[in-house]
Amino acid sequence: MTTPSQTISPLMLLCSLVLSLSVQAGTTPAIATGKMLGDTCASCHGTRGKSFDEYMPSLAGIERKQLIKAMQDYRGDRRASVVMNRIAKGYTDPEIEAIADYFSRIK
Amino acid sequence: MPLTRRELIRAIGAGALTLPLSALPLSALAKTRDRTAHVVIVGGGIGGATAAKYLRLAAPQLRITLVEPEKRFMTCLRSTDVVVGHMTLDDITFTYDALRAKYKINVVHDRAIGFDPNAKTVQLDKAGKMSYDRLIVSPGIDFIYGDVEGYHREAAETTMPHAWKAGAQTLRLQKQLQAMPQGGTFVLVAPPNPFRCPPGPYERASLVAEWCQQHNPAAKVIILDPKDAFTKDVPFKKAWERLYGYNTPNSMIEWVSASKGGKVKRVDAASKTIHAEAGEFKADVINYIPPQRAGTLAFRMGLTNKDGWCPVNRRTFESEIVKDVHVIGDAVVGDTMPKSGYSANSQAKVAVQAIADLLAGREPGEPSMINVCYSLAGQNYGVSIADIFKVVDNRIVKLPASGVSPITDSPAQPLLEAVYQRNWHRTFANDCFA
Repeated sequence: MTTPSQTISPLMLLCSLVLSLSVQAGTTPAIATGKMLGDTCASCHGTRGKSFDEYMPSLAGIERKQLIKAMQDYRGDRRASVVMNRIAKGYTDPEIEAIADYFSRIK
Repeated sequence: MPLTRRELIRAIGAGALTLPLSALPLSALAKTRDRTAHVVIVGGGIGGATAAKYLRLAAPQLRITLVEPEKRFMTCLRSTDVVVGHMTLDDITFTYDALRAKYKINVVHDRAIGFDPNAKTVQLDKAGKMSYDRLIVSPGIDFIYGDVEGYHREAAETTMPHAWKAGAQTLRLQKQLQAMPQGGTFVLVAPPNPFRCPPGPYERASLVAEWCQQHNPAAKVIILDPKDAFTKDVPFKKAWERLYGYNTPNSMIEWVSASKGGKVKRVDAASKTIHAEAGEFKADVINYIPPQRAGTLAFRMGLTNKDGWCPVNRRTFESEIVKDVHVIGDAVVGDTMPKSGYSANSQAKVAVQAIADLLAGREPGEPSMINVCYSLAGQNYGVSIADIFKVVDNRIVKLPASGVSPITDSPAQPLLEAVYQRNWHRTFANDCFA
């Protein structure tokens, strides 16, 4: 079954191409650590990703791949949300990977 | 405050003669490795509490003291829900118990009355002199009185509450709203930029209008504004159209922008009359939110610039005026970052990372910050803004593509935003205090 999340539009391909070219053109941008980035999530998802409420789920111990896919799907508007579509657009792939590394290692 | 102006200038002048941080070799910064470093945090609001907790998470061995005169903290966040009776002050009150018990923070209920940046000590009213390796100041905001004839501190404490700090002010406005005669006029005077909680005045106007629909249906809410735009104004105005008849002759909310004469020139407390550029407004309740500046503590410590805010290194939140002192929260020059509790929480985490790195003799790591803010345009209608921030050339830069709630025909989006708002307040308060 094909879900909207599995289709990639030409526009999205173009966007990601432009994005990767612009990253390659400059010096490698400094990125914050997974913990620093993860701490920005904590204000809604709980300290160290341990949520206290049902609407903003826990991220602690989440599977790395699952978090990366969720963030990329939000960023690409392939998955609907209330605010995560807007938030995910603020993070690059390496940052999303660093966030996923951080939360997936928390027990 | 024992510091005189002359002493303050001398202290800052001497501080300015010492080497800038970047000129010191990293080994000099690591001197505290041999003993247990002491970080003192002055101000136990959202910024200060978050800093204390996250410092402990980052550095289990560190000595951490939080200095705050009050035994309980009430969040400005959701205080308008208290005005309209959807929450109580208890719902927005938090204690320092968890910081003490769970995070082993030395919480001292005292007042900082003096400061020696060269000796690196703060003078506390009761506990005396306390030395620090790094100081974090989270001074919040205070109000500027005296700009408008007829409006002063006494008026704010009696006839024209601001209700912009939670507590007695919140209840004063609540009482006045409840006592407003049927068909009365509630005038909200919005402050000029920059100020604490940019969507707050518009959320308040919304929730007061909603309260009036139930309890005072012929009443009207007028916002007098010295600005022509405000945060989330597009989704707010859409919500007002949907909920309060905005842009119709029967609208419960009227927004008088700067270009329409919304700037207030004079107020008469006795007759509750406001003289704005657009003319005279006769009010039954006046919620006057005054212009703002960094909290008085920041002024007394010499941390402010000519505009009345605290300039900081955006990567570390170390003061650009006084070395080894970090300033966070509403009081800082935050560039594109709004003065919100969420921002204060995020800035605290960046300051903590920088302090942990500096104390360990490392170069401060790359910062990343965020602000997500949900406001209620009605109890079941939320609007939000979400932004991620980076530091580029010592400026806090908002990344493109995030932003305000989309306007859709789906009733689910605003309803869910309202639900998220309530969930968020609980989780957020825990991230700061629990």
